[in-house]
Amino acid sequence: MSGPTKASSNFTLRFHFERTGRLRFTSHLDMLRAFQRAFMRGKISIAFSQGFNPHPEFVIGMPLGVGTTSDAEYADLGMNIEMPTDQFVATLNANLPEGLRVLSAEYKHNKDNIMGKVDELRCLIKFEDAIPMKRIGDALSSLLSKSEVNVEKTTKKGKSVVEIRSKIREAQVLADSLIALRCDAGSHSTLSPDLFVGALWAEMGEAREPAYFTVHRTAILVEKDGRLVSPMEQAALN
Amino acid sequence: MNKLILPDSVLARVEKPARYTGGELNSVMKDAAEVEIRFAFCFPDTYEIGMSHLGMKILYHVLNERADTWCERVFAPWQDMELQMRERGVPLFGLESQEPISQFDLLGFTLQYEMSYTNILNMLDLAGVPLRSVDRLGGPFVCAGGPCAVNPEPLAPFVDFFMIGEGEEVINEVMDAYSAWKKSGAERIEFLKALTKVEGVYVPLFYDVEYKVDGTIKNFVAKDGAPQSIRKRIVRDLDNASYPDKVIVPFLDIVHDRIMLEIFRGCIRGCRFCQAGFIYRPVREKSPETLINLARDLIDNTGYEEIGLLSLSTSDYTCLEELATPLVDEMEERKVSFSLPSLRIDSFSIDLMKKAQKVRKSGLTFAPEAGTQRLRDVINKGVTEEDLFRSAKTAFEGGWSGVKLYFMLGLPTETMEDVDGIAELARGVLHIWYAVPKELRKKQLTLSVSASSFVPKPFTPFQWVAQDTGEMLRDKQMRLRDKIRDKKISFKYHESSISLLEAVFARGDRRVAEVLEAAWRKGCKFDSWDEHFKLELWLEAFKEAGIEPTFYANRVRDFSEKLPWDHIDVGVSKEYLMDEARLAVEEKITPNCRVECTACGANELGDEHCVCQEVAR
Repeated sequence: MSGPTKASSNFTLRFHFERTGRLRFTSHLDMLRAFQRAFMRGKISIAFSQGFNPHPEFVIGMPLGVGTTSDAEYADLGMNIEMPTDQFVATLNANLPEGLRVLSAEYKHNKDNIMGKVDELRCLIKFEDAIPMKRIGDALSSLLSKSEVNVEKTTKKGKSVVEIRSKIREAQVLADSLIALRCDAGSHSTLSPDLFVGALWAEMGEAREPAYFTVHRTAILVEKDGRLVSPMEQAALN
Repeated sequence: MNKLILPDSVLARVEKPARYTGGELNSVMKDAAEVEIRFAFCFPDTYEIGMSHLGMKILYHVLNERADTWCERVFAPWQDMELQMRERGVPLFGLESQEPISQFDLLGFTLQYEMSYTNILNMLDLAGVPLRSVDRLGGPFVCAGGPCAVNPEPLAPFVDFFMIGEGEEVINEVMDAYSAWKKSGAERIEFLKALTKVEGVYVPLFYDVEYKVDGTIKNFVAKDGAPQSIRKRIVRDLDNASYPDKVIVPFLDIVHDRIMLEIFRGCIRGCRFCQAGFIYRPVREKSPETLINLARDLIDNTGYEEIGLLSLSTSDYTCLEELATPLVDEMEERKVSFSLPSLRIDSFSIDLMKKAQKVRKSGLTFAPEAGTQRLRDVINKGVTEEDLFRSAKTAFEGGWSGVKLYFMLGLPTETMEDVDGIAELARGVLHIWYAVPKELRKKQLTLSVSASSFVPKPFTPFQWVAQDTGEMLRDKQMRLRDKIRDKKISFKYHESSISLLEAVFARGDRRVAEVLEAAWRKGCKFDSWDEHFKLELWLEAFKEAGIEPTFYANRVRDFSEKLPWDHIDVGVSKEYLMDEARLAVEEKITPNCRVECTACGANELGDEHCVCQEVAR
């Protein structure tokens, strides 16, 4: 960030959107830009940061990987005026490219930013190859029965070992090649579906690289007073 | 329409998959069953480069305005993707429909630079379309246009027909001819025959070339009633021409990611090295009212955060103040920034730039092109040392701290004195910087000198000259590097062997097509990308084809020689170019079109909307 980043907005709107279709190959930065241009086209009066290089006060929570679709994306947007939420949704949808669609919007009154404040991720993992349900099921049972699962993670800084069993909240096989996963998400603890699939693959005793799989995000949840709620619920907004 | 031709596993593993998935805002989707003509607009380079090109946006718009036509975009896949496509047998496809272009009616390539030619062959091959016209018994017709089409000969065996001049003027006539031919059910050749009747269209099949023993052209003969000379087409009334108001907004960060507002075509200057300055004549402007309305519509329809004026020389737009002052104010309100390329630096432009770009006060570019006044007179670059120093002073005092100076090495008549002049000019700019009061110099100066190698181009007064050999160019580069040696000045120069190839293909005849194909077969592609350019393979290709590159690049042509592009008429007469060539040697300058009409011939192309009539009045 360059220059002071003091918020200048009077109102902050949180909105829920989905990403589908061809848009799954758009990177996080490209998505931010696509939204900013849609705000411009819709003449939505968004707030810009103060400073030498003003930026829209706009963040999308939990960047989606390339190739990932989602029903559960959330963004926070600074607004200059209090535009009615239904009008905001209609205007933005009229200006978004096919594949991005806003489902709802609410004004937010606390300081919790969607970037930092999430706790659980739910997603569907689907292998491109046909893998029988039983085969995945056996491997998954074996994986979940362990108290500790250490996997190697490659980051920009090099390789490190992370324990992932404690991050898996629930996993089940829904059909051939299809798994539903609930896991930790957010700044305190997070699990990337890649690491989960890597561990599962090892459990299946396969020597080759994991088969290609797609991830479809179904929910992101926030913990409020010991309860998991949608980021759009009043409990998460106030 | 979410179906993609490539599986996710491939797309997720290549660099920037959004290059191949389409679906951008304002991209045009049609029902394939509802249209009669499928057109693939092919840009022989990457998505990011091709999408930055205005000509594609204009033609995409014009073609898709037709109810009977669906125009889609195709770019050269990057090597990682090409590998995947070849491995899986996935043919080249249109971004919009994701369907193979081998099933389309027409493939249209834009020729922006010679070093993209191998990519054309590669794209045809990836599409599964035979490279040569004579081998295409069915399937799509292959056409081409753009600035390099003024010398179509190096691509003649591969391209069925060329459109010379401004595509939006001729393309509808071509589509109408195609539609009529398709309905008639006549043989393939009949469509090409019909095209010889359309002004501005060149069908190489109907011309035979004979060569003399010395390798030069003896005869160039038109057959089957094809015209002996093909005259360039232009849009006469640019102000009322169809211009896209809904351009595609890419997801990827492309090279020129902004709205391009074309303010005029052509250039009044007549710099003798500059092909664009001759082939885009005559100068035609758009009115400020049209442009302001267009700018508003484009911002509304795209949401772009930046708008740039486009022309060969912004400062020569006669209504610059009437256009820029209100536009900058309006755009500022809408938080849209404004870019003003190729602007002459004076107090007006400095004020304008300060307003337009509040933040980025870094780089300004000057192009003196040559180091001495003598050589600048030879090339008719109407810039003096005083002009440059005054501009630099104005810019530095205005808070700018970065200057790029562009030069060319190997210009006709250049001596080592001219080369040394570049270093002296750069040092002069350095002195200007130090002479500016310290309190106005907030940052460190960044001064860079960039020297490209001159490539003689068709339809310029230098079309007859020899290009410097690689050795000569390298000597000059080394000498300049030694002369500059100053920590405050950074010096860049271009690989001279790429310039040699450019020279061959810029002024080549039909025979160099063999070299092109041989080089592509050896694996040459993306030759304009330094990391992909393979000189050894090119040299092998020349050898195999039995062609000497020096014949095309480093040979002086006599005024009486038949040139490979003599059958193309861009409006500027050959006699005029000869006169200009003589004036160059005499170090005499030619006034610009607004000062005086020097009767180049291009006035015959235009009407009351062009600069020629303005001067006549």
